[in-house]
Amino acid sequence: MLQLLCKLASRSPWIYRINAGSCNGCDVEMATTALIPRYDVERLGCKYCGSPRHADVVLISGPLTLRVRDKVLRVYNEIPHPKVTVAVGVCPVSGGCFRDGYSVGADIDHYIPLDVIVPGCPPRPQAIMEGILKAVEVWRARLEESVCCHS
Amino acid sequence: MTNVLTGILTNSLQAVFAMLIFPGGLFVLALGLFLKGVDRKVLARLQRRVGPPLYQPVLDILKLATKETLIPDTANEGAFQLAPVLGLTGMLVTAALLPIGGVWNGVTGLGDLLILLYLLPIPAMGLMLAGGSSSSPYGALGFSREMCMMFAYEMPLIASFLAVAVRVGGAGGSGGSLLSLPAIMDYQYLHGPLLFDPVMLPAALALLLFIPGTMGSGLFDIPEAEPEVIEGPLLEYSGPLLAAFHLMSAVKLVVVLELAVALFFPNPLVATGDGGVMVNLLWHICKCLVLLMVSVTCFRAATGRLRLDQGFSFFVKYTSPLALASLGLAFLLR
Amino acid sequence: MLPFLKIMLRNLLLGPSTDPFPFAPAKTHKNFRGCAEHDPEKCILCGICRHVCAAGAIQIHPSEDGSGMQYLLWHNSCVFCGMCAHYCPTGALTMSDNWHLAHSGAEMFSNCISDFIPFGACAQCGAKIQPRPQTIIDTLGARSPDRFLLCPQCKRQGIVQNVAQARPTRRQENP
Repeated sequence: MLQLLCKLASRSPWIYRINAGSCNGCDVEMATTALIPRYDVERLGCKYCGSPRHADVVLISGPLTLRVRDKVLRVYNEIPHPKVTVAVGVCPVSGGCFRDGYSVGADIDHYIPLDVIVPGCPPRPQAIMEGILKAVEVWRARLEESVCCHS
Repeated sequence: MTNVLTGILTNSLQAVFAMLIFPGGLFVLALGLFLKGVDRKVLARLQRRVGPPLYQPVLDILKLATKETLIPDTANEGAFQLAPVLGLTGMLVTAALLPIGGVWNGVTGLGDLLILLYLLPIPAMGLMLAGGSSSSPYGALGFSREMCMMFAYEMPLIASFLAVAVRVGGAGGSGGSLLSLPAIMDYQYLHGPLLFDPVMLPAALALLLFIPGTMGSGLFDIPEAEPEVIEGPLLEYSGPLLAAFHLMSAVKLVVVLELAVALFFPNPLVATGDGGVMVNLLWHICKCLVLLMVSVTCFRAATGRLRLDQGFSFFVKYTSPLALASLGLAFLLR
Repeated sequence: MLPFLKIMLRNLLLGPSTDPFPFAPAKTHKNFRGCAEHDPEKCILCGICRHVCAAGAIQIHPSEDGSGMQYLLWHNSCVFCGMCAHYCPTGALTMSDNWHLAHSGAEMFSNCISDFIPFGACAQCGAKIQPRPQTIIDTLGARSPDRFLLCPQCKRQGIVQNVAQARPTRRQENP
């Protein structure tokens, strides 16, 4: 019963985007997955939501600049459990071409655990959708774990 | 004595059944989620997308039930948790009061337009309470926007209610007005639906514009505008409380559509009796679907969002005069 | 009047234009620049790829036993600019059209190209030189295949000997 609930629940991943100092390239590609009929991420039950409180899957783009670091961490903590993080683009993982820049601190994975990584600069929309599907699998496993622990 | 007692007992049993299972409660929840699903699917098709499956709103609700509930430290915890419950129960009760043509005549003595006028703003009240108690600036913005829009769209609603009442009462020969929904429906069974009454056409149009106004879709997606105030009052909600708000909005959709159907086109397809009830119920759902397509889905596919002041003046300038024109004509032709 | 009605009707009739992607393979343009691919058979360790890489995704460092170099290209840092493939003199680096790169966070550092490239040996003295694969000998070394396989020192010696043989007694004749 609980297994079924988890299975059904994981078919409605709501997505929240955090721009951690990104150049906006990845954000455009993320918006593309929802806004362009050709990709239509809503078919997978996804919905981009404006509030971190509604989110299940967090898409992070950008190299986590010093200026936004505390704010990103604060927003990340607002997201209710269970949550899954997807790093979109190479910046969150390695800093990409911003690595060792004066305004870029350490990589995001020093602060936030990254569950799925979609490398690319920017990744194409289908790759982001692939990443979301991978994230949903991670999320389902996490959901089953948490539900079984509660009961 | 026993007869009276059993009468009261069956009446109250009937009322409980109405609230919990048939036209209120489970039925309305299922229908509301179905309508929401159809809305999303058709909207996607209008934009040449595949769209989510029809049962997606159910999955969303199940998903939200498994999530953690976060309550902000600075929020008023009681009011914060009360708001969605208040809105949802208010709407469920309202749904039980609405009669369905040829299927259900409403709880005896309660199907009254005045009660509906009091009950209909409850979800807006719930949202306002939510926005006010969540201690978030966006919640406060959503609160003020919701309140402004409520003042704007209540006016045409009241005016079209009155227009219908005056029309029905005038034709009844008493010269007064009739505020009872079953009586209004009886009138339409006799004289044909009010939708095809030229005097009532402006009021019907006003009610058609009231539906997106109160549902916050298309032009009037102002209080919960996602890109502007990040879903306003719902910003701080998560988990089951948010699910309650989504259910509330689904039930509200059904209530508003059923109300419009009851006021302007309640006529059943076939006579009641052996199987006729089911046919009439399907016919009623079809009417709701058509109304949903016109007033919510196509409307929001075709239009963008207005600013708050524009939205307010839209209702004051265009919608209210339409309803008032009907009211005036109904008075003159009494 | 109301042109959107026509558009909506047309959209309804035309049906969705969505790619069936997650349930069927997506179309990829043949010029699509996906992740880089490295062919160790062709690499001569010139290091121009590392030099032009804007994102610093390429590392070349000596292997522990000193018998060759370890070539590393980290996909999680590569920005798919294609400069390395453009400047690669031997065509060892190419940009494929593979974009299926999404992976779990645990595989963050294993998502890379890691090739061991052994040094070549000088044909004369056996000293370690840059690798000289056959494909490179056929192309870059086509002019003087013998000299192409020598270490710099042997090459220099060879040149000096050649020069000495060509003009053996010039200095003695004209003091």
